[in-house]
Amino acid sequence: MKRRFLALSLALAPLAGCNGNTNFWLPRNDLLPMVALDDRVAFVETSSQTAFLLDPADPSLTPRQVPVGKAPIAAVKRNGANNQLLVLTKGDRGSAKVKEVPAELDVIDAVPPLPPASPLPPLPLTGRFDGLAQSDDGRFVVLYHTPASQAQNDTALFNPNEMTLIDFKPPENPAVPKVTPKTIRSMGGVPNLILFSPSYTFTQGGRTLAVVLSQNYVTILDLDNPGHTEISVPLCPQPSGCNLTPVDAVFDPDNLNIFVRASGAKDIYQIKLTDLVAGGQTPTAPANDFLASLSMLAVGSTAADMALYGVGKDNTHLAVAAADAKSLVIIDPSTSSTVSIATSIPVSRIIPFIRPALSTTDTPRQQALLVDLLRGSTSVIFADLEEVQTTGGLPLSDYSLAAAGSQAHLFLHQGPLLDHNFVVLVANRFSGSAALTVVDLASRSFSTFDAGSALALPTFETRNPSRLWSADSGAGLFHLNLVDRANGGARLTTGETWLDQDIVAVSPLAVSSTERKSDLTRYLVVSHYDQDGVGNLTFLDAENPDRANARTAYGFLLSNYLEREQP
Amino acid sequence: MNKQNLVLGALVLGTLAGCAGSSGGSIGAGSESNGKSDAAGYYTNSGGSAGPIMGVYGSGGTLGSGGTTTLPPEQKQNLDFLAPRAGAKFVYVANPTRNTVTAIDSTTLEINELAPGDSPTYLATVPGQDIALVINVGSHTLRILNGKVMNAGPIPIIAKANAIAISPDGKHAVIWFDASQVAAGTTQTKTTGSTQEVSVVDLSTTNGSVISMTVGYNPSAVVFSSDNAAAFVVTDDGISELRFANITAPGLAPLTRIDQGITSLAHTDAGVVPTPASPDTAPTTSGPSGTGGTPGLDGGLAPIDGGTAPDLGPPDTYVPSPSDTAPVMASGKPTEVSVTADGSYAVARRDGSYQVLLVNLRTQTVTALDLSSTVTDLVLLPSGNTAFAVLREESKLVSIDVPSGFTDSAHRTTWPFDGETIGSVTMSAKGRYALLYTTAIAINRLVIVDLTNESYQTVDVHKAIRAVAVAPDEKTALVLHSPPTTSGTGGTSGKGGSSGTVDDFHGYTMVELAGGREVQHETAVEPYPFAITPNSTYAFVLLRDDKAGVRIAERISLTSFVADDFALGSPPSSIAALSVSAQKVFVGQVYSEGRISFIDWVTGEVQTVTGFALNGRIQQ
Repeated sequence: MKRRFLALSLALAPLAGCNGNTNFWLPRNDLLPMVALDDRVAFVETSSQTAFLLDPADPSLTPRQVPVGKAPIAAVKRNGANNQLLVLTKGDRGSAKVKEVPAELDVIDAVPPLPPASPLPPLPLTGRFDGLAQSDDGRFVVLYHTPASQAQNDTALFNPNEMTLIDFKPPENPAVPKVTPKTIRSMGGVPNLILFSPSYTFTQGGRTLAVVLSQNYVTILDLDNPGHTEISVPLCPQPSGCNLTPVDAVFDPDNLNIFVRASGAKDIYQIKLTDLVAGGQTPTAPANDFLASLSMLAVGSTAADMALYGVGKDNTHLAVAAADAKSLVIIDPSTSSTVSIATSIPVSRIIPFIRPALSTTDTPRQQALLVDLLRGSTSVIFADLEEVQTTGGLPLSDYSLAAAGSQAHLFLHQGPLLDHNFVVLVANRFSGSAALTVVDLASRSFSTFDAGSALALPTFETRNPSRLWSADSGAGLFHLNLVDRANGGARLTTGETWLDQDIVAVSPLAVSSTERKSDLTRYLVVSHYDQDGVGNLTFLDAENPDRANARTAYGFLLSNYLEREQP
Repeated sequence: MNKQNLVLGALVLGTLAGCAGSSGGSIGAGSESNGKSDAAGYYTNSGGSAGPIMGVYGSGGTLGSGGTTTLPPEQKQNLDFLAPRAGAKFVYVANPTRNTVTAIDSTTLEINELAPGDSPTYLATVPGQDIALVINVGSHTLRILNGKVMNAGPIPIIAKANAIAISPDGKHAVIWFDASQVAAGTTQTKTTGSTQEVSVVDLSTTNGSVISMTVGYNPSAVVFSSDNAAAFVVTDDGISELRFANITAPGLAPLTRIDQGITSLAHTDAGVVPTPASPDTAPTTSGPSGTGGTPGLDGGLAPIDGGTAPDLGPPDTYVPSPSDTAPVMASGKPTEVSVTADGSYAVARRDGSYQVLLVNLRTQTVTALDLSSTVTDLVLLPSGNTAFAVLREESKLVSIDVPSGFTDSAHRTTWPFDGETIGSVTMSAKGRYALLYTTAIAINRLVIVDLTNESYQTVDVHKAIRAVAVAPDEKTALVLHSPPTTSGTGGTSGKGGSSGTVDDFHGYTMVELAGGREVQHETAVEPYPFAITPNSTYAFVLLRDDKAGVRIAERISLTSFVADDFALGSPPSSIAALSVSAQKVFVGQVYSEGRISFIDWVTGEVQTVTGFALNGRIQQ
């Protein structure tokens, strides 16, 4: 194992041995959580207002440093095919002696653009936000005040329903982000969660909507027309005496529907959007060209989860898990008709999938895996959702898990893995027998994996080869190959790599370095304990993790230390 | 007479042009909004003709021979302007507390929240059209809704308004104040203003226009002439005429007083010597109760299916002499006012009176015809040329030609139905059938009079009758029965003293009018309200018992009389049929956030919209 220390680390070496604390004189780095970009990792040090971008393919492991705004509070990778770091700063409200520094959003390219292109300048903000939400494609960003920000006292007066909408590719000038301050109506709450829709097609064009979930109401924003009026949809018949917390929303662009699930409600809220222009109306800005109407789809019990399946107009259905009632409710939103089926377990998670055709005469079937993640059930259910429409019934098949004991709680990792029709159920103890159960949805087969010691940090990598990374409580790095589509090789094979330090996080990068073509390794970044925040990472080949080829970078976050202002 | 049947009829015909809702029409609908009753009527047991009531009735108690029994008061029912109202494909729901009206498209379930003004409360639809009129109580304005679009700004109307009458052609409306709604508790108002003003709305223009007119005191009904040229407001003072072509500015509507200036009292002295009906000329029924008019006292049962309907026989022109039935010069406002097609005449009766009034609306004169006993119901043929009066005390139906029958006995025909107890009449939509029955006491018999063939048949419907409605195609009737009581309401009407059987069930009966075949359906709870589809293919009744959790809409095929149930998510409260093209009925339900189900009356598909009440709080 090769170990490379940065120059400053070497310079500090003579001090080693003084009472065992070599860094007693150092101001501790104040870091935001590490961000894995496509081909490198990024850290933001708040005191020095610096972003460090480290390319594992860089032989010197010297991070690129980029200044950011004052008081960074959040750093995330920009979604979609954007190898960029977004850094949200709060600025400084100033004082009699200190000039105010505005908040800003910094967009930092992982790889500096080549001239004549230039990096995006910081986007000044009118509010000192602490929340950042973005669309899946990274085009839209909404900055807002989280509920936690209300407890902060670093701002004298602010509107918790103030937000800023950012369109990184506005049609009028795709090169210049459009920043639109927005204050949404307050109906007694603040944004708890912001969700982004896929594109909804209206007569006047496609729309991406932001759905803001607040206590007792939902706000809909047309991100393509940020100047348009927001739509406030209350979930309660009366302004008072109501306590509904919307927790989830699913989108049905085929039918211009949005479905909202709320804790404390025995119904699913259906927000239907009506294309006003298609209806012959000609609304003028700032009025929206669509209208929202609300109805309720009866579940009969608190909904623990919901999933939309089916495509096309009037062909989508909503599957709702009513855990308390131990039932699965299938709702046809076009008619509000419901079919309720009793389940043997209190289903809290619905994983819809399409079972491939089993023969030339067979057709793909819309099915779902029903799982209890909350109450310790040791069985799962396969449900043929399409049977609802053909027979009015819902064939259910129970499958027992080999989990040790009935108290095993399950949690689930899914997402793009569903492309492979796999679901991995992980017992919360993550050790002993049946620590892992891999469910092949198509064949309804189960593969159980035991763990000799407690596993931790399960990290799923969905790119080929799909792989589950994990660690034991020490320095052991484990992986389970789930799918190998490229060469059709064996799947469900395991491997382990022993590192020198305990593992605290595992971050597989998406691609090899886009800057240094001499090294085509796609790296796995392993984080270690880093009490002083100087930077302590190990890089491995994500395709073939091998201790022999691993490299550790330590202290790289002190690269600018000498240039910093002294405390 | 209980006009509940007519109110229900209004629901049935709600989507038919011509006779809907309070807008009236020449028959039925014109009086249904009145909901008048003859609650004070006395039932005199008089000799042989008293046969039908001599028996012990399930709930009616024992009527002693020769005694006088006060009939229970008839129920009065007002048209509920607060309930959802059906257009062609839209259902409109007024939300006064949120200042909105919800327009729900039954075909797409699209919910449209409209803000027509301050406290939109009273709402009515143009029959068969997606045009709704809503009274904004807070701003004393009217807003016209066309589909899901509101017409231009609210139109000022009279301050005190709680009722809307729309002409069958949908071109005019009259906004007025119905004090009876206050009395019935369906309206609460603290607004002051003249109760003698009405707003006449011209709907033929894009945004409508309003002219206020002064009418008689205390309006109680508005009816329209069949040619839609005029509306007539029934008041305590008389009948005010609103002839639309003449209304160009606010003014006093011509008023024809009822109690003053009556020009003639025809036959108060029975100027024509009556010829008592002979048994062989009296109407007969096919069952034992109808032969010869002498009722048996042995409790013989009425025929089940009516058998072959006999001819009515020669008309009986008998009018009782004054000595037998002294005319009662009743006063008070007329009830059951119907207007002839051309608007020349109106006919009316008054509660507890022997009189039938003919109002010449052109000369503003009134002719009163005293019949031989209290007139308990009065209807006008759709053609307007004949009125039918029911004399319950004598079990007679009197046909009166309009206008000649009021002055010439030769133009009157009396049809006795000895052995039957009849107090109400329900006329079919085109006037082929008159259905006679009583709702005052527990009589199980329905007399179907075929006015075309001048024949009749009696059908035993097994339970006491609460209301009757005839399908628009005049082929079937829906008979709703009175609820059972501990004393046995609904028991068989024993005609000879046999005890009625205690009946624990609610129910309704479907009757085929031509053949008299009847099919009874028992229900766990009272079936009410109901709707009949405008194409006469299905009827629907609502079954609701909140304690028992009964929440059902029951569909009955009008061809097979087979019923099937649709479970509802919440207690049903209202039902009405939309247009034939929409092919749906809507069922309004009691739910805090609002719930309406649409049932495709052919496929049985149920679509439910829940939570539309929340839409009023959406800020777009």
